[in-house]
Amino acid sequence: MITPEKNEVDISKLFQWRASTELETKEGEKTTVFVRVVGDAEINQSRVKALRASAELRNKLRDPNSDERIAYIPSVHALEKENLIEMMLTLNMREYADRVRDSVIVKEPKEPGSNATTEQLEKYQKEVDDYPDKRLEKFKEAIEKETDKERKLLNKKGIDILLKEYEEVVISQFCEAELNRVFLGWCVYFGTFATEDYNVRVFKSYDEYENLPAYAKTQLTDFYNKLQLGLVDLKK
Amino acid sequence: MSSLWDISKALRVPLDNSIRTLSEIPYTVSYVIRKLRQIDNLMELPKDKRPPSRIIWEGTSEDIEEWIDRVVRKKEPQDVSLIIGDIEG
Repeated sequence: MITPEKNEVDISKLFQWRASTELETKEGEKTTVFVRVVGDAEINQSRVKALRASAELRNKLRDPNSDERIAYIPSVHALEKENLIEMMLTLNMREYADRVRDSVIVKEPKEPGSNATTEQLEKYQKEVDDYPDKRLEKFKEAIEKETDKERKLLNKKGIDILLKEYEEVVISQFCEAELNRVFLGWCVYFGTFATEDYNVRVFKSYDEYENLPAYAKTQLTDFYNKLQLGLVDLKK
Repeated sequence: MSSLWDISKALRVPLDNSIRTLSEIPYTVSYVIRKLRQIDNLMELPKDKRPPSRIIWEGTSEDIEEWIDRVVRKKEPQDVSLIIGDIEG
């Protein structure tokens, strides 16, 4: 959530960008690995790989004969129009949020001058503290309005068009999830080392990382995510 | 972070001694440095021509570019031609 508060973030976390962790096998054996937040070049490579993976999945999901389509795209032909619309609205909620983000303008509190009294500083701090809730409230209102507008538009459409659109929304969701998964996977692959000097990667190839059991990948991605500061904190 | 960066620049003290090569710089650190340089540059503009903080922090690089085009860069003078007809009124 956007906040004018710039003093709550722990700056030292920005410089805690590498650490070791123990990777546990199913048999209970532990191996120490060294993980670091990747650099710009690796981020760009990860992005490219993720986009390719997402495009590949999109093609498969659009192919009526693919296994992926049969496995992932639910059949909704039996659904009532009203239910279908509500499902689409729910799936599209993030898009509506993105659409209205720029229109929600809540004036940020004005920082008092250097000669401000304690009471003025207290008042400013209270306004800063209240700001996220105030903005969230306005944001919710704007999303509700956008959803109502969209509901009316969808209601005017025929069921065949709605089914087609629903399918595209579901495909987009799967592809975005795939994009994020592969992006993070490549970051973890690039950023996980076997030696303390961060010179020898643990995995010889991305496929070797991909073939790890799910619980091991979760361990590594969770650890990597803890190491990197999120974009919201980076902006503070 | 902004003040830390200013101090680091002024004293020529590296932000992180453990970084040995450029490629080792985590993207989070390079993002913060890039953003601070961008803000430093924008602060060079007269106060009334600086983009609002909403654009700086939430806008895309295209949004900032568009703002600068609109507010700072002088538009090319446009040719104006006056057509005088034979008929008055």
